[in-house]
Amino acid sequence: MFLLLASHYSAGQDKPAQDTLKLGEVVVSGSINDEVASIFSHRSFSQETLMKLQQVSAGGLLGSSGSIYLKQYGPGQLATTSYRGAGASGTMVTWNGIPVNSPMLGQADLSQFPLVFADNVSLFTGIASNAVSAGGIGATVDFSTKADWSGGTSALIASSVSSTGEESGFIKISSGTSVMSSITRLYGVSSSNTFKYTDIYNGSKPFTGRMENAGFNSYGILQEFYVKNQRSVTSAKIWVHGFNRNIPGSLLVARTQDPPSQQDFNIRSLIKHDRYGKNGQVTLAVSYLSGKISYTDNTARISSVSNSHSFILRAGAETTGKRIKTGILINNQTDRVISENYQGIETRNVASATLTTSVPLSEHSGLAFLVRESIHDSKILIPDFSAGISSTRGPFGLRANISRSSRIPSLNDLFWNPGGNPDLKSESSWSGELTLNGRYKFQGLVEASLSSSFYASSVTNMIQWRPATSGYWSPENILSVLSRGAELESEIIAGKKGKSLTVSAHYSFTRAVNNSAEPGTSDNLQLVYVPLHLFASEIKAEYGRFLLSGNLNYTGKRFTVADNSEHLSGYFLADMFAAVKLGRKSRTELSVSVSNLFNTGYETVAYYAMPLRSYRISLLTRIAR
Amino acid sequence: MRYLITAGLIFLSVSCSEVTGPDLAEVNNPLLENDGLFLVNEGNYLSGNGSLSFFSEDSVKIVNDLYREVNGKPLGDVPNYVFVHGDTTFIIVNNSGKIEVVETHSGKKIAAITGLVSPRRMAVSAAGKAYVTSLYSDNIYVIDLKSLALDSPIKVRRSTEAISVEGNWLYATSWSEGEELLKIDLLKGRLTDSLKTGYEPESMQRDRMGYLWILCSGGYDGSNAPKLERINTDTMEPVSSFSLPAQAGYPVSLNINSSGDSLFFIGNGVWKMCTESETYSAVKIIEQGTRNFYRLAVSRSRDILYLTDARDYQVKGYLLRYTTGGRYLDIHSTGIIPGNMFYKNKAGNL
Repeated sequence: MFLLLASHYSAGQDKPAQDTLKLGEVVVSGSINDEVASIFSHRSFSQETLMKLQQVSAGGLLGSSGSIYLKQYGPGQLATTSYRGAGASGTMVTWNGIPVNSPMLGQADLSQFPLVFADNVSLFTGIASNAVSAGGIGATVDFSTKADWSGGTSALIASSVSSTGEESGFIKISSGTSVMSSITRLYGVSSSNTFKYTDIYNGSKPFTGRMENAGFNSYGILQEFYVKNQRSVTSAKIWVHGFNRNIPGSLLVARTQDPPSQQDFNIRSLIKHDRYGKNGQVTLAVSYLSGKISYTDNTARISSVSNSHSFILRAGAETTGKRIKTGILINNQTDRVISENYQGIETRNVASATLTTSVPLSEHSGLAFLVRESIHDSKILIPDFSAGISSTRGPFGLRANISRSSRIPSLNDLFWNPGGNPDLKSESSWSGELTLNGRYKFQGLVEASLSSSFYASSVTNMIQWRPATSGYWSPENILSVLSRGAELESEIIAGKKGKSLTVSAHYSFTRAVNNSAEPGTSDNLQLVYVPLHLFASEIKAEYGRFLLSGNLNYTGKRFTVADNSEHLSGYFLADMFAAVKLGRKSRTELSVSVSNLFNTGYETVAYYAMPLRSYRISLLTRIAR
Repeated sequence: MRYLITAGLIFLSVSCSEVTGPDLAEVNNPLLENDGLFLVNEGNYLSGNGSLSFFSEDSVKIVNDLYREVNGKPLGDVPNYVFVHGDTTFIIVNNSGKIEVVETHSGKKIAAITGLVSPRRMAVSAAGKAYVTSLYSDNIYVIDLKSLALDSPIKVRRSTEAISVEGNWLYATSWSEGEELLKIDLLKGRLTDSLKTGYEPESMQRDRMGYLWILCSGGYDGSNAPKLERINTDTMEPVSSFSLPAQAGYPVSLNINSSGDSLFFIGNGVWKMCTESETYSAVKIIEQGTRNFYRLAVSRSRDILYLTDARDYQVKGYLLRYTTGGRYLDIHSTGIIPGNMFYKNKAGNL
């Protein structure tokens, strides 16, 4: 399954005219970069998982994955990732391959990515991250959608209510023929966010409180059109999304009836044309992204509005020879930001050319190389580079790659007033990764898989904001981070479809240390908010119309101070999920979930309350004609 | 197997739902009876890791994380000022919008004054009122020291920072993007006069001749020259205005010795200047070196300078002692970003 290169080589050169190809269990989108990303993909979340968590944001999915640490300032609040020691901006988030990290912040707020807007979520590292996008020095998380060529019309209607005062609804309508597809998704959520939490900072008497003035609401529409013929696929997608929330602050800040609030409004659009020929394919894509952030703090008399606009032009061509496949991808992104926090309108242009080559060594092994040269405005950057090898022997697979990747500073890093530093350099990272995996089947009834990854990475010129002598904060290229670790993943499936028991577990060990601090400060100490241990497990039983699953996740101790003198204790979280399919054709599904089953008091960011036990009831109906 | 998993889950639930906090101890630390300084460690913004320290001059020892040790809870987000008034000490916690009131001799919490918008610094009048400046409001808050309740604020229509009360007059600077010294009549409870100063007047001290000295930092981006100004507050007219040399960088933390004739401030090192001088005559008495000097205080009973070193702002800092002539004495570990200090004598008074 991990040797798609070989699969492609033997499959012939004349590709079927499809936007998305399904090969084995991995979905790829045709281009060589997508193929390389799929081969070296670190993790791909199943459609079933996405459906189960459909009312949850992407942050909830990644945070319970056992490999990514999610820093969340509470439900509905800012949620960013930390992966293998890279900070929030080291994780690039893409939507159908288009980078959607805010050009201002350099990071994405994962609480604003409802999973209902994705058909597939993948986590890429190393060469795969470089193949998908520039800038993901830690990882790239891609949310993608795909066409439905099955024809006819179908609809999916879902709604849920939770004990924290949240109500949400989702409608997905698919219609089309074998050559045309239209998919419409509508989503809305409103939450008073009145969750219970434990305040452990009340001296010797921790108390249980209920969060107030932390409400949020969100709405969005995603419309996709696909058209294909014998030689091409053309798609147009537009996603409009709004997110409004109060920001109640930490447990150390006095509660107020008038907390700060933030309104986000994003438009993401993409038009893409893929044309396939006998000897290769050509891709053209244009994307426009806009983001508006309005922040109001009546207490501090702050009312700021920032608008960002990004235009992305992308052109790719690749040739498919008998053995070697080579592709070049030209990408140009122009960002323009109008913000009251900058001294004027700031623009920047980043152009890049990516050359990717894959070489089969045998029927079951292959090599891949990638080099990317980028020009930031008129400045030529040091090229990014990756090389990888993959091989399978029977049930065993091996993948290894090394990569150099880089991230240019965000516009806030450069131009924020006060404190921005226009002299910042790009962050850069060298990483190496080895993955071994195996999959066994016993008498067709039990299937077991085991995967282990070992990695090391070094990030230099890492940007860190810190107080300047003037009393304002200012970013500097001061941090170097050395990160080493391992990830283990296993899954056992017993039974067959409809009557099965699945047990899965994922463990990651991350040792990420500051490599640049002066002796006696934080040198060689674990980075803040990077847990050494993360563990996620799930047991799932499916019997006919019934599904029952339980999750148990562990997040290890996280230091909150650079000299490791203070920390948040590790914690276990357990969730339960039960669903039953109703109706003659099982098209309706009623589900109940319990989050934080054991009422654990915990925090992912110090002093920011997270919910105790909560309940959710969901109803989902499929209609097909 | 099923029972094993169930047992495991039950065990984990018991072990993980336990909430622990620091053990409360009735701390009556004898060091707090000494002459010394309270020191607020600001901690990192939004991180809640600020703390209170006390340095005993008599025993040359420091007690860190005093508030949490005594009261079993964190102080708040960004404590930035401490003020001792007899047996009562006020700790201004800027981003928590509150003032923690504690016993001077134990650190034990008495009360919390909440509902303040970005409080900054504090001064007390003989009439039993405390006045608190604010970064983000138009008000100077007024607190009744007997009831610890908020009285009607004084509206000044601008942000305020440094504060001093003398008799029935209150002086405050408008610091953030400001350039004014404000004069407020406490009997009338209103602003009566103002004087344009250098850009961002950060700190001020009264000398033995009765002049008010103001250190103007010049703004974070160096767009304005930092200045040291001498003001006659009776007439609200400047007596002297000195532009600081470039090597003074971004100067902060103006202090004065107990005899009121020598000024000290931080600016890429520590500078000392005689208040009698008619010209700018500051001399650098301590080199910055690898230190990151952040705040300065002067002992009122000994010829000692206290300097905080914020290091890289991420790890615990240092409190350093020097003679007022600039000779190094010793160093002590503090909390994160050690900031403002307030000297007290055994009686608890300044």
